[in-house]
Amino acid sequence: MVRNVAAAALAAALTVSVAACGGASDGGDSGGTDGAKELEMWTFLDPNSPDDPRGAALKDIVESYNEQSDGITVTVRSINYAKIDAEVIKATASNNGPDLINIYSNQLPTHVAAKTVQPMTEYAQPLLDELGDDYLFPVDGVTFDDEIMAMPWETRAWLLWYRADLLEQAGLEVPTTLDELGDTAAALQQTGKTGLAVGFSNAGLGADFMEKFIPFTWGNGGEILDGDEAVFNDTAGVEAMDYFTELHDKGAFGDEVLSMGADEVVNGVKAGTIAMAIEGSYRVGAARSGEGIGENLQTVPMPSDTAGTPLQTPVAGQTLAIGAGASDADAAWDFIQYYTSAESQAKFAAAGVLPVLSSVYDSAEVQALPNAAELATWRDYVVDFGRPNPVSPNFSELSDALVTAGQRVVFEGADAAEQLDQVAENYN
Amino acid sequence: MATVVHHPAETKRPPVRQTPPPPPAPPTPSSARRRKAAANAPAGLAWGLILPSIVVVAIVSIFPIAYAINLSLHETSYMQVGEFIGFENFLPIFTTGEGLGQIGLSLVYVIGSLLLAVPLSLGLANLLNQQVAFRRVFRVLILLPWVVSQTVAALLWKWLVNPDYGPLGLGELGGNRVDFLADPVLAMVLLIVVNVWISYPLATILCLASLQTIPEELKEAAEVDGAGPFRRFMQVTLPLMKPTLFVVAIQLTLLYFNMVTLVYTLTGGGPLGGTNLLSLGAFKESFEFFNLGLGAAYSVVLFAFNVIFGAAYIRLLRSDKS
Repeated sequence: MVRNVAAAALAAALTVSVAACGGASDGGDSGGTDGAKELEMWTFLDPNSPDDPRGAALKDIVESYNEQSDGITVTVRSINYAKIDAEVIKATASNNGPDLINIYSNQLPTHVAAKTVQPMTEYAQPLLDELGDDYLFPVDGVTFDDEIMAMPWETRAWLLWYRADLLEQAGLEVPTTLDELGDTAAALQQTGKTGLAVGFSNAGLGADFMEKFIPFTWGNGGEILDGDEAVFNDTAGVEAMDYFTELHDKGAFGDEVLSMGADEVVNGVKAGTIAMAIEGSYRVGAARSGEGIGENLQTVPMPSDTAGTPLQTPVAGQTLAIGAGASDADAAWDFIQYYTSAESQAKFAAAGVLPVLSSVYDSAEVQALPNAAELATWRDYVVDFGRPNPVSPNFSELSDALVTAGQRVVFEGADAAEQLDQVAENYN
Repeated sequence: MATVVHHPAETKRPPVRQTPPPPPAPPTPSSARRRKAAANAPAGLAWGLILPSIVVVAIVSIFPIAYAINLSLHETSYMQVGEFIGFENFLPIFTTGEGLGQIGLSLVYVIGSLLLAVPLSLGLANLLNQQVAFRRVFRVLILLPWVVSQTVAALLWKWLVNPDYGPLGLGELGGNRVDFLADPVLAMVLLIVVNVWISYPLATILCLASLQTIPEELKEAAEVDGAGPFRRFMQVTLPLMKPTLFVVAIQLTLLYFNMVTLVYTLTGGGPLGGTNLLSLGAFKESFEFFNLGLGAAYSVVLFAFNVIFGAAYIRLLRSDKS
């Protein structure tokens, strides 16, 4: 009997020990004990990164906020860009989500559908009304069911990049129409460079391809989505796909673009193996930092069929949202307001980020930047020709399917209409 | 009259023992008492000792599998599990060209990698087992790829085979630009090569360990009987290594079927879907498209393939023994 009791006690002790080993550590109390409020912000930026000036700007802004705020302390948790969305969704499902979340505007619909964020219209609308036209970012891009779900703090536009040195060596002018773009790229390809890089790789879920397919489809008078329904499989979409085929057949790019995503394209421009590309404004600073690049990398608005009238550019950017389980939404908004203020925007502008406030471009801090004039042209492009990037909760899936369709059309000669119909049918 | 030539190795062999080995010693009173005590031990103690292990195994192994199977049979919306829908999540895998293509490509990838990795590991293990100068240095060098992460390996090989500036890039051959990552067949070949490159060290270590347990006397005896190096390897070394080779095959099969990071970083499943494996489908559906039900279905299919391959190896091993 004694042995049985001892055995049971031993078993219980071991089981409890094992359970204790596997037990989760407690998440801590987000609220302070003396009225102080602690907020956790999850972002892909690393405040301690030695390479990314945006990280340093983030650190500066958070520290400044914590110093001046009345009892609110924000701490930053940095999560890899490729993982942050999944981490937030998983954490929120287990009631451990953050108070503040940095979300790329393309991913915002996914977060809205996954209920990781809460509406902020009651906070944001009065501020936006007050800012009026000064706020550049098209708020439609972050509004779902009439609710503003996040505040963009960064603007991105897509531009035609070109290596001025390579064009000059080839005796070529900067193209002003899509026809000229193809011809110029084909001529550059003859010099042993990739004339115009369009990333057809599946890497990054085909994002680089989508960044071209969208404006080209718009340029042909079409749309990508109507609500949540795919509508790109019309004449405009087919013409956009046929334009890619024309570029390939003309020799504007070769099969090498099949292995290129956005990173490879930017690296190619830096290395001088790619003469032209259509890439985001937010990557220009990093590309120029390459050895011997500097001012050799120039940008102009994307050309359209008509000289002097550029294509409409998709506008996207990083946003800040209030987590669905935020411990204090008022405090979270207080921080967001500070984060998107002119003062913070100027700090981010110095780190190569395109501000969301028009007036910041005229501020002393931005005017002191060496590319202040260029930033102003980008702002004007966004104001005059910017449109919210089409988004949906399944946009990644759509992007992945469309780049595969693009590969089949351009490199295997598949019928563009059939491929687009197939992708649209699967999506809808 | 035949001349008997004594091989030098034979002279080194220990004399054959003519006398039979002594019978096992009778159990001492103390060991007999212990056995008796063990036989009479209370079942509670046995269960008490084994229960923590069962609990741990259930938590870390059985529960996730059961959860994945359950998830694959339900509708899901992000992290929310909805209605039971039977095998509906499996239909895209087994009834569409893309799904069947993924199964085919996964089999090509796994079998192709195994066919390269196992013989390579066996050969390298044999070389490392030789008494040569700098043997330890060679061992370290050959095992180096093991410490490289899949992400780093993918980025490294991307650079190596780049046709423009990669040291291993083929550039233009016969007027055609050879870009491994721009051709679906070449991309699969590259994927297999890189996979073998990062996984052969593990197999080599296991093979080397197995080789070192084979008594030299057996090889020497075969040599005395006139067997050459190849015959000694085929008829002495290989049969004795078979259990290890099956273990290696099982380990590598599991590793290859479930591999995501390398594929995702090196090819992303492309070009033209040429490297779109089941494991990549499981990852993308689960963590990029957040279709957890479909992602779980992919995982269950992978699990089934792992079980089928594992069972086949074990069956082969058993039939070989019998």
